[in-house]
Amino acid sequence: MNKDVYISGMNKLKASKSFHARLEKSLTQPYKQKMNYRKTCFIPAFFVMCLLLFLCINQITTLLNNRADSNWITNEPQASDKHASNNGKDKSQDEFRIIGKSDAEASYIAVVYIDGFAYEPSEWLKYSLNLSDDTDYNALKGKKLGEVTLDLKGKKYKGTPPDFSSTYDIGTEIYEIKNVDPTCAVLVNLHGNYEIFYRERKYVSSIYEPIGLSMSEVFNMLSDHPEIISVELRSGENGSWMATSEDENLLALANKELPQRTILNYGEIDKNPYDYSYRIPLNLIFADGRALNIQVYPAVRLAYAFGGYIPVSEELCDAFKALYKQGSPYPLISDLIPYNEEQISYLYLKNHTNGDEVICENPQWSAAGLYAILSYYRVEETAAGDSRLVMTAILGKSETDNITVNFYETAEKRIITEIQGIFYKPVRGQLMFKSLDSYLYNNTDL
Amino acid sequence: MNESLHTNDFINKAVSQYADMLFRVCFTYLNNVQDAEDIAQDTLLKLVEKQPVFEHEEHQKAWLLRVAVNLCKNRLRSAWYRKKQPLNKNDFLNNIESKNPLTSEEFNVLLAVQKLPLKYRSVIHMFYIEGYSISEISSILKRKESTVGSQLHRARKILKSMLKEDFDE
Repeated sequence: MNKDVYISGMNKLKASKSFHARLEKSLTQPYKQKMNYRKTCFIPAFFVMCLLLFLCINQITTLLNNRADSNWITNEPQASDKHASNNGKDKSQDEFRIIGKSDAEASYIAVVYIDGFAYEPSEWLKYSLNLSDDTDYNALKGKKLGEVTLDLKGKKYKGTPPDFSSTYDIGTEIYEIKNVDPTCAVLVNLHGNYEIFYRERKYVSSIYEPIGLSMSEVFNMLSDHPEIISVELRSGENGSWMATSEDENLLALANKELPQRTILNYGEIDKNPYDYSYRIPLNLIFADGRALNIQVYPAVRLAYAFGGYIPVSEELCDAFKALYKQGSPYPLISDLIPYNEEQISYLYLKNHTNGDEVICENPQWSAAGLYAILSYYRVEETAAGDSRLVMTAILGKSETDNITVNFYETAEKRIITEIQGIFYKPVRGQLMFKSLDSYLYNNTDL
Repeated sequence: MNESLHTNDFINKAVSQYADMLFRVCFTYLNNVQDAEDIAQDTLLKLVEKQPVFEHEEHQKAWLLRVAVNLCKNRLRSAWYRKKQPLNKNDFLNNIESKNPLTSEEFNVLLAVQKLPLKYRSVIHMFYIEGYSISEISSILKRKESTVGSQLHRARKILKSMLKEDFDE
């Protein structure tokens, strides 16, 4: 009888004797003394936290000033060397180091090196291989290219990272994607879950070393038909799709100018000491559906592309700015909800597929996960059609001041959203029930 | 129950009565002895600091379980905790074998339960170890009764497939 075995096993689990002793000692300290102790601990801890916060802000500011969001890994000189090189004494180091927003995050950066190029998962390029959210990645698996042979996680490495080095564990398998050239993307087996890693940039030994590629070479590397047929505007906040432009003037300018550009070094943008935080994330879509993500900085007329920067003419910059100003013609699902995330203090959820329901104990925290989904998809009206109710969210300020959002699954396994009697479907990408189910699992007690 | 919370007697009683219970529920949530001990300690510290007045012992036990569950959930939500590796057999063995020897049968059943998703193993723990009814679990875990019932049913079903026999028959 497993139940009895479980009970007898659990009853054998006891805290250690040292724990009991520690516990009694800590609890029998007079209360006031404990509070005084806490205060004395708190004051130095407060100063330490202030110092850490200052260092953090400093670090983030430095990072923002030096690189685009998507470029975390480089062979950057140490701060003192960078200062020296800014003064005309460029002494780039051979030492490879992984740079992130913090040491902890740096250790988890997802990257695989093959043939001197860094491959990374990319939210920007999602859907660029004409894949949908319900694609069976296992079925995409082509020939095995190799597996990770050198683990770079948290380590320093001198020289160019060799093929199949990664921040992933040694033995992580890397495959070709069927009908996709590995010069564009590969498939990586992450503990049984396959993920697409896109070729994102070439390895160079210093941020001041030119990338050494022309944009034309990059276009040809990523696509068999490298003519730009459309330009996608992406969200700077979460990388999601906002709008697609097929404006003839924009495309003509882009096709004429961009292939001629040579990619400069990654430190190029540092030459301009003014604010370049305003950026326009774009995907250049080629005739075969492949894409290249670029980030345009209109203030300095530069665009980040494939590990370095390219100059952009004023005319092309203006065309990109016009697209940016137009924004998206479609609302986000979260735009249709009259409460913003911070206002949510009541959240009821029901999973209709199994009948589970919950009034979230921590609605702010649970709503954050839901808003991450709702603020990703831009939607347009649709008909309910042959669909079934799979999830209901009632969210708002209170039990009486709220709105009901219903999620229906269509026969094609796509989620459509119903708000105040109107049904909406994503314009680009598909919301799947597995995303909602995963949300319920990770952000609620369901 | 209006006992002074500052007397050594009370504290000793609370430790002897609830320390292991709290340790076990925290272990169910966190799958780790050190973390479970930390949270059990924090829970009892809250009892001393907050000085709540309880109507009876069951009320006190439920309060302590609720606080422990909340503290465990906070720990699970913390960014660094999310980076931790999932439970594997060796870790589990190392974690508990040094404390108290289990039979291989007990070990296998405990491992199966600890491998369940958190929402299921918390319900299994409250039902079988703490002896609470579905209605009481609903109140402690703040889930609907119907949800607790179906979670218990699904947990048993998963355990049956893992252990190749019924869990509670």
